[in-house]
Amino acid sequence: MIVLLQLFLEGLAAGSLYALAAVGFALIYATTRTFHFAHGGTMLLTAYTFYQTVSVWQWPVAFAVLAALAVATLFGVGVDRFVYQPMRRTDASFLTIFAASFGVLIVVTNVVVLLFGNSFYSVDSTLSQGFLVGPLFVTYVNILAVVLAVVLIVALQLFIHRTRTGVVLRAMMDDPALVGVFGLGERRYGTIAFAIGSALIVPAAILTTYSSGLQPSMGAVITLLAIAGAIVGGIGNLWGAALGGMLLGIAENLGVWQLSSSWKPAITFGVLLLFLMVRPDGLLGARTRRS
Amino acid sequence: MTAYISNLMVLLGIAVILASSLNLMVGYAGIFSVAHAVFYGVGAYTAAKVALGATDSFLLATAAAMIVSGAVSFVLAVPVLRVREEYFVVASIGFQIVASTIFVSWNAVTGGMGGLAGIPPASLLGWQMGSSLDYMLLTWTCVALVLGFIALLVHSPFGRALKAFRDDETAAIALGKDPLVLRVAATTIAGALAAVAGSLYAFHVSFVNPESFTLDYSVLILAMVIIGGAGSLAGPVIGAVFITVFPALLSFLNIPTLYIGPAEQLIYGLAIVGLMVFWPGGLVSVWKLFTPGRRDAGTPWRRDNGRQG
Repeated sequence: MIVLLQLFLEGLAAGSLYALAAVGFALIYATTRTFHFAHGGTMLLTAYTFYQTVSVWQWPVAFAVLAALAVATLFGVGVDRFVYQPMRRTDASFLTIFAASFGVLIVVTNVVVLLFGNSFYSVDSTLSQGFLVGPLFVTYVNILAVVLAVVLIVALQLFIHRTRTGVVLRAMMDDPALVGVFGLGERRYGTIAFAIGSALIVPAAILTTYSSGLQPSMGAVITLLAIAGAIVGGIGNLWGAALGGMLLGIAENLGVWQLSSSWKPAITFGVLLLFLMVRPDGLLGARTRRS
Repeated sequence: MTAYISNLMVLLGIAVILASSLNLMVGYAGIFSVAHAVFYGVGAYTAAKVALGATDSFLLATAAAMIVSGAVSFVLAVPVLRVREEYFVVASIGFQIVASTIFVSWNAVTGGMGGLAGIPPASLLGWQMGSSLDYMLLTWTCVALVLGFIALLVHSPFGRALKAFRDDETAAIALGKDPLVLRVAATTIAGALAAVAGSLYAFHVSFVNPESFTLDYSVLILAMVIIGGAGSLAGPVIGAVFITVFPALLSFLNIPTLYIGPAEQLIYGLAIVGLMVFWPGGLVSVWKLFTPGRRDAGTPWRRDNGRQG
Protein backbone atom coordinates (compact mmCIF):
# COMPACT_ATOMS: atom_id res chain seq x y z
CA MET A 1 0.00 0.00 0.00
CA ILE A 2 2.79 2.35 0.93
CA VAL A 3 4.58 1.39 -2.24
CA LEU A 4 1.51 2.33 -4.22
CA LEU A 5 1.27 5.68 -2.47
CA GLN A 6 4.93 6.37 -3.09
CA LEU A 7 4.51 5.49 -6.74
CA PHE A 8 1.44 7.70 -6.90
CA LEU A 9 3.52 10.56 -5.54
CA GLU A 10 6.23 9.99 -8.13
CA GLY A 11 3.50 9.87 -10.73
CA LEU A 12 2.09 13.15 -9.53
CA ALA A 13 5.49 14.83 -9.87
CA ALA A 14 6.25 13.30 -13.24
CA GLY A 15 2.72 14.02 -14.37
CA SER A 16 3.09 17.67 -13.45
CA LEU A 17 6.06 17.98 -15.77
CA TYR A 18 4.31 16.09 -18.55
CA ALA A 19 1.34 18.38 -18.03
CA LEU A 20 3.51 21.43 -18.64
CA ALA A 21 4.85 19.94 -21.84
CA ALA A 22 1.37 18.87 -22.92
CA VAL A 23 -0.19 22.27 -22.25
CA GLY A 24 2.60 23.95 -24.24
CA PHE A 25 1.98 21.63 -27.14
CA ALA A 26 -1.78 22.00 -26.91
CA LEU A 27 -1.52 25.78 -26.84
CA ILE A 28 0.56 25.79 -30.00
CA TYR A 29 -1.68 23.29 -31.74
CA ALA A 30 -4.93 24.92 -30.76
CA THR A 31 -3.88 28.39 -31.85
CA THR A 32 -1.82 27.71 -34.93
CA ARG A 33 -3.01 24.22 -35.93
CA THR A 34 0.63 23.18 -36.14
CA PHE A 35 1.52 19.73 -34.94
CA HIS A 36 4.74 20.89 -33.33
CA PHE A 37 6.44 17.56 -33.14
CA ALA A 38 9.72 19.35 -32.49
CA HIS A 39 8.39 20.44 -29.07
CA GLY A 40 10.56 17.78 -27.51
CA GLY A 41 13.51 19.39 -29.20
CA THR A 42 12.77 22.52 -27.22
CA MET A 43 12.95 20.53 -24.02
CA LEU A 44 16.16 18.82 -25.13
CA LEU A 45 17.95 22.06 -25.98
CA THR A 46 16.72 23.73 -22.82
CA ALA A 47 17.84 20.91 -20.57
CA TYR A 48 21.28 20.65 -22.11
CA THR A 49 21.70 24.44 -22.04
CA PHE A 50 20.85 24.42 -18.37
CA TYR A 51 23.29 21.60 -17.75
CA GLN A 52 26.03 23.35 -19.68
CA THR A 53 25.57 26.66 -17.88
CA VAL A 54 25.10 25.25 -14.40
CA SER A 55 27.51 22.32 -14.36
CA VAL A 56 30.17 23.10 -16.90
CA TRP A 57 30.34 26.87 -16.86
CA GLN A 58 29.37 27.11 -13.22
CA TRP A 59 26.94 29.97 -13.65
CA PRO A 60 24.66 30.85 -10.78
CA VAL A 61 21.41 28.96 -11.03
CA ALA A 62 19.35 32.08 -11.66
CA PHE A 63 21.36 32.95 -14.76
CA ALA A 64 21.25 29.38 -15.93
CA VAL A 65 17.47 29.45 -15.70
CA LEU A 66 17.39 32.66 -17.72
CA ALA A 67 19.66 31.12 -20.33
CA ALA A 68 17.38 28.10 -20.52
CA LEU A 69 14.33 30.32 -20.90
CA ALA A 70 16.02 32.29 -23.66
CA VAL A 71 17.02 29.16 -25.56
CA ALA A 72 13.57 27.61 -25.28
CA THR A 73 11.72 30.68 -26.47
CA LEU A 74 14.17 31.46 -29.25
CA PHE A 75 14.07 27.90 -30.52
CA GLY A 76 10.29 27.67 -30.50
CA VAL A 77 9.87 31.00 -32.21
CA GLY A 78 12.73 30.22 -34.58
CA VAL A 79 11.21 26.97 -35.79
CA ASP A 80 7.92 28.74 -36.34
CA ARG A 81 9.50 31.64 -38.19
CA PHE A 82 11.89 29.66 -40.37
CA VAL A 83 10.14 26.34 -40.90
CA TYR A 84 6.41 26.49 -40.31
CA GLN A 85 5.59 29.95 -41.57
CA PRO A 86 7.23 29.56 -44.97
CA MET A 87 5.37 26.29 -45.32
CA ARG A 88 2.04 27.75 -44.39
CA ARG A 89 2.57 30.42 -46.98
CA THR A 90 2.84 27.75 -49.66
CA ASP A 91 -0.28 26.01 -48.39
CA ALA A 92 1.55 22.85 -47.39
CA SER A 93 -0.55 20.00 -46.10
CA PHE A 94 -0.59 18.91 -42.50
CA LEU A 95 1.55 15.90 -43.26
CA THR A 96 4.23 17.99 -44.93
CA ILE A 97 4.44 20.29 -41.93
CA PHE A 98 4.49 17.33 -39.62
CA ALA A 99 7.32 15.73 -41.59
CA ALA A 100 9.31 18.95 -41.39
CA SER A 101 8.72 19.15 -37.65
CA PHE A 102 9.83 15.56 -37.36
CA GLY A 103 12.95 16.42 -39.31
CA VAL A 104 13.69 19.31 -36.96
CA LEU A 105 13.49 16.98 -33.98
CA ILE A 106 15.90 14.57 -35.65
CA VAL A 107 18.30 17.43 -36.39
CA VAL A 108 18.17 18.77 -32.83
CA THR A 109 18.61 15.34 -31.26
CA ASN A 110 21.65 14.59 -33.37
CA VAL A 111 23.20 18.01 -32.83
CA VAL A 112 22.99 17.29 -29.12
CA VAL A 113 24.55 13.86 -29.63
CA LEU A 114 27.37 15.35 -31.67
CA LEU A 115 28.03 18.04 -29.06
CA PHE A 116 27.52 16.04 -25.90
CA GLY A 117 27.75 12.39 -26.83
CA ASN A 118 25.19 9.73 -26.20
CA SER A 119 25.91 9.20 -22.56
CA PHE A 120 23.84 10.11 -19.62
CA TYR A 121 24.51 13.25 -17.60
CA SER A 122 23.28 14.15 -14.21
CA VAL A 123 23.33 17.30 -12.16
CA ASP A 124 23.75 17.16 -8.43
CA SER A 125 22.01 19.55 -6.19
CA THR A 126 20.30 19.84 -2.87
CA LEU A 127 17.06 19.80 -4.75
CA SER A 128 17.32 16.10 -5.47
CA GLN A 129 17.28 15.46 -1.77
CA GLY A 130 14.14 15.19 0.20
CA PHE A 131 12.55 14.38 3.47
CA LEU A 132 10.12 11.94 4.96
CA VAL A 133 6.46 12.66 5.36
CA GLY A 134 5.26 9.76 7.39
CA PRO A 135 6.33 6.66 5.48
CA LEU A 136 6.66 8.49 2.20
CA PHE A 137 9.80 10.04 0.77
CA VAL A 138 9.27 13.40 -0.88
CA THR A 139 12.01 15.21 -2.77
CA TYR A 140 12.17 18.96 -3.22
CA VAL A 141 12.05 18.35 -6.93
CA ASN A 142 8.72 16.61 -6.53
CA ILE A 143 7.29 19.53 -4.63
CA LEU A 144 8.66 22.09 -7.06
CA ALA A 145 7.28 20.12 -9.97
CA VAL A 146 3.73 20.07 -8.70
CA VAL A 147 3.78 23.65 -7.42
CA LEU A 148 5.29 25.11 -10.58
CA ALA A 149 2.92 23.19 -12.80
CA VAL A 150 -0.13 24.33 -10.91
CA VAL A 151 1.04 27.95 -10.72
CA LEU A 152 2.03 28.19 -14.36
CA ILE A 153 -1.03 26.48 -15.76
CA VAL A 154 -3.38 28.58 -13.68
CA ALA A 155 -1.41 31.67 -14.69
CA LEU A 156 -1.81 30.68 -18.33
CA GLN A 157 -5.54 30.30 -17.96
CA LEU A 158 -5.78 33.72 -16.33
CA PHE A 159 -3.68 35.16 -19.10
CA ILE A 160 -5.92 33.69 -21.75
CA HIS A 161 -9.07 34.89 -20.13
CA ARG A 162 -8.11 38.27 -18.73
CA THR A 163 -5.55 39.89 -20.99
CA ARG A 164 -6.15 41.23 -24.46
CA THR A 165 -3.41 39.12 -26.00
CA GLY A 166 -4.81 36.11 -24.27
CA VAL A 167 -8.27 36.73 -25.64
CA VAL A 168 -6.88 36.93 -29.15
CA LEU A 169 -5.18 33.59 -28.58
CA ARG A 170 -8.45 32.11 -27.48
CA ALA A 171 -10.10 33.53 -30.56
CA MET A 172 -7.49 31.80 -32.66
CA MET A 173 -8.32 28.54 -30.98
CA ASP A 174 -11.93 28.99 -31.95
CA ASP A 175 -11.68 30.40 -35.41
CA PRO A 176 -8.37 31.47 -36.92
CA ALA A 177 -9.89 32.95 -40.04
CA LEU A 178 -12.05 35.30 -38.07
CA VAL A 179 -9.03 36.61 -36.25
CA GLY A 180 -7.52 37.64 -39.55
CA VAL A 181 -10.75 39.38 -40.49
CA PHE A 182 -10.44 41.58 -37.45
CA GLY A 183 -7.06 42.74 -38.65
CA LEU A 184 -5.15 41.06 -35.85
CA GLY A 185 -1.87 39.67 -37.16
CA GLU A 186 -2.29 35.93 -37.13
CA ARG A 187 1.40 35.47 -37.57
CA ARG A 188 2.32 37.69 -34.68
CA TYR A 189 -0.05 35.97 -32.31
CA GLY A 190 1.07 32.62 -33.59
CA THR A 191 4.60 33.57 -32.66
CA ILE A 192 3.39 34.55 -29.20
CA ALA A 193 1.74 31.17 -28.83
CA PHE A 194 4.96 29.44 -29.79
CA ALA A 195 6.91 31.59 -27.34
CA ILE A 196 4.58 30.85 -24.43
CA GLY A 197 4.20 27.18 -25.29
CA SER A 198 7.96 26.74 -25.51
CA ALA A 199 8.61 28.69 -22.34
CA LEU A 200 6.23 26.44 -20.41
CA ILE A 201 8.54 23.54 -21.01
CA VAL A 202 11.48 25.22 -19.25
CA PRO A 203 10.56 24.15 -15.69
CA ALA A 204 9.94 20.66 -16.97
CA ALA A 205 13.35 20.57 -18.59
CA ILE A 206 15.18 21.91 -15.55
CA LEU A 207 13.43 19.71 -13.02
CA THR A 208 13.87 16.61 -15.15
CA THR A 209 17.58 17.43 -15.35
CA TYR A 210 17.73 17.35 -11.58
CA SER A 211 15.58 14.31 -11.07
CA SER A 212 16.27 11.95 -13.96
CA GLY A 213 19.36 13.31 -15.64
CA LEU A 214 19.93 14.05 -19.28
CA GLN A 215 19.94 11.85 -22.33
CA PRO A 216 19.58 12.74 -26.00
CA SER A 217 16.59 10.46 -26.35
CA MET A 218 14.56 12.56 -23.92
CA GLY A 219 13.59 14.89 -26.74
CA ALA A 220 11.62 12.26 -28.56
CA VAL A 221 10.22 10.81 -25.36
CA ILE A 222 8.92 14.14 -24.10
CA THR A 223 7.40 15.00 -27.46
CA LEU A 224 5.42 11.82 -27.39
CA LEU A 225 4.36 12.31 -23.80
CA ALA A 226 3.28 15.88 -24.50
CA ILE A 227 1.26 14.84 -27.52
CA ALA A 228 -0.19 11.81 -25.79
CA GLY A 229 -1.19 13.96 -22.83
CA ALA A 230 -2.77 16.54 -25.08
CA ILE A 231 -4.71 13.90 -26.99
CA VAL A 232 -5.85 11.96 -23.95
CA GLY A 233 -7.03 15.15 -22.34
CA GLY A 234 -8.79 16.28 -25.44
CA ILE A 235 -6.85 18.20 -27.98
CA GLY A 236 -7.67 21.86 -28.15
CA ASN A 237 -8.43 22.04 -24.48
CA LEU A 238 -5.68 23.33 -22.20
CA TRP A 239 -7.10 21.99 -18.95
CA GLY A 240 -7.51 18.71 -20.75
CA ALA A 241 -3.87 18.65 -21.81
CA ALA A 242 -2.82 19.27 -18.21
CA LEU A 243 -5.12 16.52 -17.03
CA GLY A 244 -3.91 14.17 -19.72
CA GLY A 245 -0.27 14.76 -18.87
CA MET A 246 -0.97 14.22 -15.20
CA LEU A 247 -2.92 11.04 -15.88
CA LEU A 248 -0.14 9.57 -17.98
CA GLY A 249 2.47 10.40 -15.36
CA ILE A 250 0.46 8.66 -12.70
CA ALA A 251 -0.43 5.67 -14.85
CA GLU A 252 3.17 5.24 -15.92
CA ASN A 253 4.46 5.19 -12.38
CA LEU A 254 1.70 3.06 -10.93
CA GLY A 255 2.38 0.56 -13.67
CA VAL A 256 5.85 0.02 -12.24
CA TRP A 257 4.16 -1.64 -9.28
CA GLN A 258 3.50 -4.71 -11.34
CA LEU A 259 5.64 -4.40 -14.44
CA SER A 260 9.34 -3.62 -14.77
CA SER A 261 10.20 -0.04 -15.62
CA SER A 262 11.10 -0.95 -19.20
CA TRP A 263 7.36 -1.18 -19.69
CA LYS A 264 6.84 2.48 -18.83
CA PRO A 265 6.62 3.78 -22.39
CA ALA A 266 4.49 0.82 -23.33
CA ILE A 267 2.06 1.74 -20.56
CA THR A 268 1.86 5.34 -21.72
CA PHE A 269 1.08 4.28 -25.22
CA GLY A 270 -1.20 1.55 -24.15
CA VAL A 271 -3.29 4.19 -22.42
CA LEU A 272 -3.09 6.44 -25.47
CA LEU A 273 -4.11 3.67 -27.84
CA LEU A 274 -6.97 2.78 -25.58
CA PHE A 275 -8.22 6.35 -25.61
CA LEU A 276 -7.81 6.63 -29.36
CA MET A 277 -9.89 3.56 -29.90
CA VAL A 278 -12.55 4.17 -27.33
CA ARG A 279 -12.68 7.92 -26.85
CA PRO A 280 -10.59 9.79 -29.41
CA ASP A 281 -12.05 13.08 -28.34
CA GLY A 282 -10.16 12.69 -25.12
CA LEU A 283 -11.42 13.43 -21.68
CA LEU A 284 -12.39 17.05 -22.18
CA GLY A 285 -12.12 17.52 -25.89
CA ALA A 286 -14.61 18.84 -28.37
CA ARG A 287 -15.91 16.55 -31.07
CA THR A 288 -13.04 15.84 -33.42
CA ARG A 289 -14.14 12.75 -35.25
CA ARG A 290 -13.32 12.81 -38.92
CA SER A 291 -16.31 12.84 -41.24
CA MET B 1 34.11 -7.91 -53.04
CA THR B 2 31.20 -9.63 -54.74
CA ALA B 3 30.02 -10.83 -51.37
CA TYR B 4 30.02 -7.27 -50.04
CA ILE B 5 28.14 -5.94 -53.02
CA SER B 6 25.58 -8.73 -53.15
CA ASN B 7 25.02 -8.29 -49.43
CA LEU B 8 24.47 -4.56 -49.93
CA MET B 9 22.12 -5.32 -52.79
CA VAL B 10 20.07 -7.64 -50.62
CA LEU B 11 19.74 -4.95 -47.96
CA LEU B 12 18.91 -2.41 -50.63
CA GLY B 13 16.23 -4.67 -52.06
CA ILE B 14 14.72 -5.13 -48.61
CA ALA B 15 14.75 -1.35 -48.13
CA VAL B 16 13.01 -0.84 -51.47
CA ILE B 17 10.26 -3.29 -50.55
CA LEU B 18 9.78 -1.66 -47.16
CA ALA B 19 9.76 1.88 -48.52
CA SER B 20 7.41 1.00 -51.39
CA SER B 21 4.96 -0.78 -49.14
CA LEU B 22 4.97 2.10 -46.67
CA ASN B 23 4.45 4.44 -49.60
CA LEU B 24 1.18 2.66 -50.25
CA MET B 25 0.00 3.91 -46.89
CA VAL B 26 1.73 7.27 -46.74
CA GLY B 27 1.80 8.42 -50.32
CA TYR B 28 -1.37 6.91 -51.70
CA ALA B 29 -3.69 6.45 -48.76
CA GLY B 30 -2.37 9.47 -46.90
CA ILE B 31 -1.78 7.54 -43.68
CA PHE B 32 1.36 8.57 -41.86
CA SER B 33 2.71 5.49 -40.12
CA VAL B 34 5.86 5.31 -38.05
CA ALA B 35 5.29 1.67 -37.20
CA HIS B 36 6.29 -0.06 -40.39
CA ALA B 37 9.24 -1.82 -38.78
CA VAL B 38 6.72 -3.71 -36.64
CA PHE B 39 5.23 -5.46 -39.67
CA TYR B 40 8.70 -6.06 -41.04
CA GLY B 41 9.59 -7.60 -37.69
CA VAL B 42 6.44 -9.68 -37.40
CA GLY B 43 7.11 -11.03 -40.87
CA ALA B 44 10.71 -11.80 -40.01
CA TYR B 45 9.87 -13.55 -36.75
CA THR B 46 7.09 -15.57 -38.40
CA ALA B 47 9.32 -16.67 -41.26
CA ALA B 48 12.01 -17.55 -38.74
CA LYS B 49 9.60 -19.66 -36.70
CA VAL B 50 8.44 -21.51 -39.79
CA ALA B 51 11.99 -22.14 -40.97
CA LEU B 52 13.15 -23.28 -37.56
CA GLY B 53 10.13 -25.40 -36.83
CA ALA B 54 8.64 -26.74 -40.01
CA THR B 55 10.21 -26.18 -43.39
CA ASP B 56 12.89 -24.10 -45.04
CA SER B 57 10.70 -23.44 -48.01
CA PHE B 58 10.88 -19.76 -48.82
CA LEU B 59 7.42 -19.71 -50.33
CA LEU B 60 5.74 -21.26 -47.31
CA ALA B 61 7.63 -19.17 -44.80
CA THR B 62 6.87 -15.98 -46.69
CA ALA B 63 3.23 -16.89 -47.13
CA ALA B 64 2.92 -17.50 -43.40
CA ALA B 65 4.72 -14.24 -42.70
CA MET B 66 2.42 -12.30 -44.99
CA ILE B 67 -0.68 -13.76 -43.41
CA VAL B 68 0.40 -13.05 -39.85
CA SER B 69 1.67 -9.56 -40.63
CA GLY B 70 -1.41 -8.74 -42.64
CA ALA B 71 -3.59 -9.90 -39.77
CA VAL B 72 -1.70 -7.74 -37.28
CA SER B 73 -2.00 -4.71 -39.60
CA PHE B 74 -5.68 -5.35 -39.96
CA VAL B 75 -6.23 -5.60 -36.24
CA LEU B 76 -4.39 -2.33 -35.67
CA ALA B 77 -6.04 -0.59 -38.56
CA VAL B 78 -9.69 -1.21 -37.91
CA PRO B 79 -10.05 0.64 -34.61
CA VAL B 80 -7.36 3.23 -35.08
CA LEU B 81 -7.95 4.41 -38.62
CA ARG B 82 -11.22 5.90 -37.59
CA VAL B 83 -9.41 8.78 -35.99
CA ARG B 84 -7.78 11.80 -37.50
CA GLU B 85 -4.54 11.43 -39.35
CA GLU B 86 -2.67 13.45 -36.76
CA TYR B 87 -3.66 10.96 -34.11
CA PHE B 88 -2.80 7.99 -36.25
CA VAL B 89 0.79 9.17 -36.37
CA VAL B 90 1.04 9.24 -32.62
CA ALA B 91 -0.86 5.99 -32.31
CA SER B 92 1.55 4.33 -34.72
CA ILE B 93 4.52 5.54 -32.71
CA GLY B 94 2.88 4.18 -29.62
CA PHE B 95 2.17 0.90 -31.34
CA GLN B 96 5.78 0.65 -32.45
CA ILE B 97 7.05 1.22 -28.93
CA VAL B 98 4.69 -1.33 -27.44
CA ALA B 99 5.64 -3.82 -30.14
CA SER B 100 9.35 -3.30 -29.51
CA THR B 101 8.80 -3.98 -25.83
CA ILE B 102 6.90 -7.14 -26.71
CA PHE B 103 9.65 -8.31 -29.08
CA VAL B 104 12.14 -7.91 -26.27
CA SER B 105 10.05 -9.35 -23.47
CA TRP B 106 8.06 -12.20 -24.97
CA ASN B 107 10.83 -14.70 -24.55
CA ALA B 108 8.80 -17.77 -25.34
CA VAL B 109 7.91 -16.67 -28.84
CA THR B 110 10.52 -14.17 -29.91
CA GLY B 111 13.51 -15.36 -27.94
CA GLY B 112 13.68 -12.06 -26.10
CA MET B 113 16.75 -9.86 -26.48
CA GLY B 114 18.76 -12.61 -28.09
CA GLY B 115 16.15 -13.33 -30.68
CA LEU B 116 16.01 -16.42 -32.83
CA ALA B 117 19.19 -17.77 -34.35
CA GLY B 118 20.30 -20.57 -36.58
CA ILE B 119 17.70 -20.06 -39.29
CA PRO B 120 18.44 -22.53 -42.11
CA PRO B 121 19.11 -21.23 -45.62
CA ALA B 122 16.03 -20.85 -47.76
CA SER B 123 15.02 -23.26 -50.44
CA LEU B 124 12.80 -22.32 -53.33
CA LEU B 125 11.19 -25.10 -55.34
CA GLY B 126 14.20 -27.35 -54.93
CA TRP B 127 16.82 -24.62 -55.33
CA GLN B 128 18.82 -24.48 -52.11
CA MET B 129 20.22 -21.03 -51.39
CA GLY B 130 23.74 -20.66 -50.20
CA SER B 131 25.70 -17.63 -51.23
CA SER B 132 24.90 -13.96 -51.02
CA LEU B 133 24.52 -14.03 -54.77
CA ASP B 134 21.62 -16.48 -54.47
CA TYR B 135 19.91 -14.23 -51.98
CA MET B 136 20.50 -11.21 -54.14
CA LEU B 137 18.70 -12.92 -57.02
CA LEU B 138 15.88 -13.96 -54.74
CA THR B 139 15.59 -10.52 -53.21
CA TRP B 140 15.42 -8.65 -56.46
CA THR B 141 12.95 -11.09 -57.92
CA CYS B 142 10.79 -10.30 -54.93
CA VAL B 143 11.40 -6.58 -55.40
CA ALA B 144 10.24 -6.84 -59.00
CA LEU B 145 7.13 -8.77 -57.97
CA VAL B 146 6.30 -6.36 -55.15
CA LEU B 147 6.81 -3.26 -57.28
CA GLY B 148 4.82 -4.81 -60.07
CA PHE B 149 2.00 -5.63 -57.71
CA ILE B 150 1.98 -2.12 -56.26
CA ALA B 151 2.00 -0.61 -59.75
CA LEU B 152 -1.00 -2.73 -60.72
CA LEU B 153 -2.77 -1.83 -57.50
CA VAL B 154 -2.17 1.87 -57.94
CA HIS B 155 -3.60 1.86 -61.43
CA SER B 156 -6.58 -0.23 -60.52
CA PRO B 157 -9.94 1.16 -59.41
CA PHE B 158 -8.80 0.58 -55.84
CA GLY B 159 -5.72 2.69 -56.41
CA ARG B 160 -7.71 5.41 -58.06
CA ALA B 161 -10.13 5.50 -55.14
CA LEU B 162 -7.19 5.87 -52.76
CA LYS B 163 -5.79 8.72 -54.77
CA ALA B 164 -9.20 10.33 -54.88
CA PHE B 165 -9.24 10.32 -51.10
CA ARG B 166 -5.78 11.68 -50.87
CA ASP B 167 -6.56 14.53 -53.21
CA ASP B 168 -10.01 15.53 -52.07
CA GLU B 169 -11.68 13.63 -49.30
CA THR B 170 -15.04 15.33 -49.50
CA ALA B 171 -15.42 14.69 -53.20
CA ALA B 172 -14.42 11.07 -52.81
CA ILE B 173 -17.01 10.53 -50.10
CA ALA B 174 -19.59 12.25 -52.25
CA LEU B 175 -18.85 9.67 -54.90
CA GLY B 176 -19.68 6.93 -52.48
CA LYS B 177 -16.24 5.64 -51.58
CA ASP B 178 -15.90 4.32 -48.07
CA PRO B 179 -12.85 5.83 -46.43
CA LEU B 180 -12.39 3.28 -43.71
CA VAL B 181 -12.53 0.23 -45.97
CA LEU B 182 -10.00 1.71 -48.36
CA ARG B 183 -7.60 2.75 -45.63
CA VAL B 184 -7.81 -0.56 -43.81
CA ALA B 185 -7.20 -2.40 -47.07
CA ALA B 186 -4.17 -0.24 -47.89
CA THR B 187 -2.75 -0.77 -44.40
CA THR B 188 -3.28 -4.52 -44.48
CA ILE B 189 -1.65 -4.88 -47.88
CA ALA B 190 1.26 -2.69 -46.83
CA GLY B 191 1.78 -4.83 -43.76
CA ALA B 192 1.69 -8.05 -45.75
CA LEU B 193 4.24 -6.71 -48.24
CA ALA B 194 6.55 -5.63 -45.44
CA ALA B 195 6.48 -9.24 -44.29
CA VAL B 196 8.08 -10.28 -47.57
CA ALA B 197 11.03 -8.09 -46.67
CA GLY B 198 11.02 -9.63 -43.21
CA SER B 199 11.19 -13.13 -44.60
CA LEU B 200 14.05 -12.21 -46.92
CA TYR B 201 15.90 -10.67 -44.01
CA ALA B 202 15.41 -13.66 -41.74
CA PHE B 203 16.77 -16.13 -44.29
CA HIS B 204 19.58 -13.93 -45.49
CA VAL B 205 20.97 -13.00 -42.09
CA SER B 206 19.85 -16.30 -40.48
CA PHE B 207 18.91 -14.71 -37.19
CA VAL B 208 16.35 -12.19 -36.03
CA ASN B 209 16.45 -10.02 -32.95
CA PRO B 210 14.50 -6.99 -31.73
CA GLU B 211 17.23 -4.51 -32.60
CA SER B 212 16.40 -4.50 -36.29
CA PHE B 213 12.77 -3.61 -35.76
CA THR B 214 12.87 -0.52 -33.62
CA LEU B 215 11.31 2.93 -33.87
CA ASP B 216 14.59 4.18 -35.31
CA TYR B 217 14.21 1.84 -38.24
CA SER B 218 10.58 2.80 -38.76
CA VAL B 219 11.68 6.41 -38.88
CA LEU B 220 14.37 5.49 -41.39
CA ILE B 221 11.85 3.79 -43.69
CA LEU B 222 9.59 6.81 -43.43
CA ALA B 223 12.56 9.02 -44.25
CA MET B 224 13.16 6.94 -47.39
CA VAL B 225 9.60 7.56 -48.50
CA ILE B 226 9.61 11.27 -47.71
CA ILE B 227 13.04 12.04 -49.10
CA GLY B 228 12.47 10.00 -52.24
CA GLY B 229 9.03 11.37 -52.75
CA ALA B 230 5.76 9.98 -51.48
CA GLY B 231 2.90 9.23 -53.80
CA SER B 232 4.98 8.10 -56.73
CA LEU B 233 6.28 4.68 -57.66
CA ALA B 234 9.86 5.75 -58.17
CA GLY B 235 10.04 7.93 -55.07
CA PRO B 236 10.51 5.24 -52.41
CA VAL B 237 13.03 3.46 -54.62
CA ILE B 238 15.10 6.60 -54.91
CA GLY B 239 14.75 7.23 -51.20
CA ALA B 240 15.78 3.68 -50.36
CA VAL B 241 18.83 3.94 -52.59
CA PHE B 242 19.77 7.30 -51.09
CA ILE B 243 19.52 6.14 -47.52
CA THR B 244 21.15 2.75 -48.02
CA VAL B 245 24.03 3.99 -50.14
CA PHE B 246 24.65 7.27 -48.35
CA PRO B 247 26.36 5.79 -45.26
CA ALA B 248 28.72 3.92 -47.55
CA LEU B 249 29.66 7.23 -49.16
CA LEU B 250 30.15 8.89 -45.79
CA SER B 251 32.65 6.23 -44.80
CA PHE B 252 34.98 7.60 -47.43
CA LEU B 253 35.15 10.89 -45.57
CA ASN B 254 37.03 9.44 -42.62
CA ILE B 255 34.70 10.74 -39.98
CA PRO B 256 35.42 9.17 -36.60
CA THR B 257 33.07 6.25 -36.02
CA LEU B 258 31.53 7.87 -32.99
CA TYR B 259 30.16 10.64 -35.15
CA ILE B 260 29.01 8.69 -38.18
CA GLY B 261 25.61 7.61 -36.85
CA PRO B 262 24.51 11.03 -35.61
CA ALA B 263 26.04 12.75 -38.62
CA GLU B 264 24.00 10.53 -40.97
CA GLN B 265 20.83 11.15 -39.05
CA LEU B 266 21.54 14.85 -38.91
CA ILE B 267 21.81 14.93 -42.67
CA TYR B 268 18.60 12.97 -43.13
CA GLY B 269 16.85 15.34 -40.75
CA LEU B 270 18.13 18.36 -42.62
CA ALA B 271 17.20 16.73 -45.91
CA ILE B 272 13.68 16.14 -44.69
CA VAL B 273 13.24 19.67 -43.41
CA GLY B 274 14.79 21.22 -46.50
CA LEU B 275 12.75 19.07 -48.84
CA MET B 276 9.50 19.66 -47.01
CA VAL B 277 9.97 23.41 -47.09
CA PHE B 278 11.08 23.65 -50.70
CA TRP B 279 10.19 20.42 -52.50
CA PRO B 280 7.55 18.47 -50.65
CA GLY B 281 7.44 16.09 -53.55
CA GLY B 282 10.82 14.71 -52.55
CA LEU B 283 13.82 13.97 -54.72
CA VAL B 284 11.55 12.60 -57.40
CA SER B 285 9.98 16.01 -57.89
CA VAL B 286 13.40 17.63 -58.13
CA TRP B 287 14.16 15.19 -60.93
CA LYS B 288 10.93 16.12 -62.62
CA LEU B 289 12.06 19.72 -62.76
CA PHE B 290 14.71 18.69 -65.26
CA THR B 291 12.56 16.47 -67.40
CA PRO B 292 9.91 18.23 -69.41
CA GLY B 293 6.70 16.30 -69.58
CA ARG B 294 3.02 16.52 -68.88
CA ARG B 295 2.19 18.84 -66.04
CA ASP B 296 1.58 17.05 -62.83
CA ALA B 297 -1.50 17.97 -60.82
CA GLY B 298 0.76 18.68 -57.89
CA THR B 299 2.21 16.51 -55.21
CA PRO B 300 -0.10 14.84 -52.72
CA TRP B 301 1.63 16.76 -50.01
CA ARG B 302 0.62 20.13 -51.18
CA ARG B 303 -3.00 19.58 -50.56
CA ASP B 304 -4.73 20.12 -47.30
CA ASN B 305 -7.33 17.64 -48.39
CA GLY B 306 -9.98 20.27 -48.69
CA ARG B 307 -9.84 21.07 -45.01
CA GLN B 308 -8.88 24.55 -43.97
CA GLY B 309 -7.89 23.44 -40.48
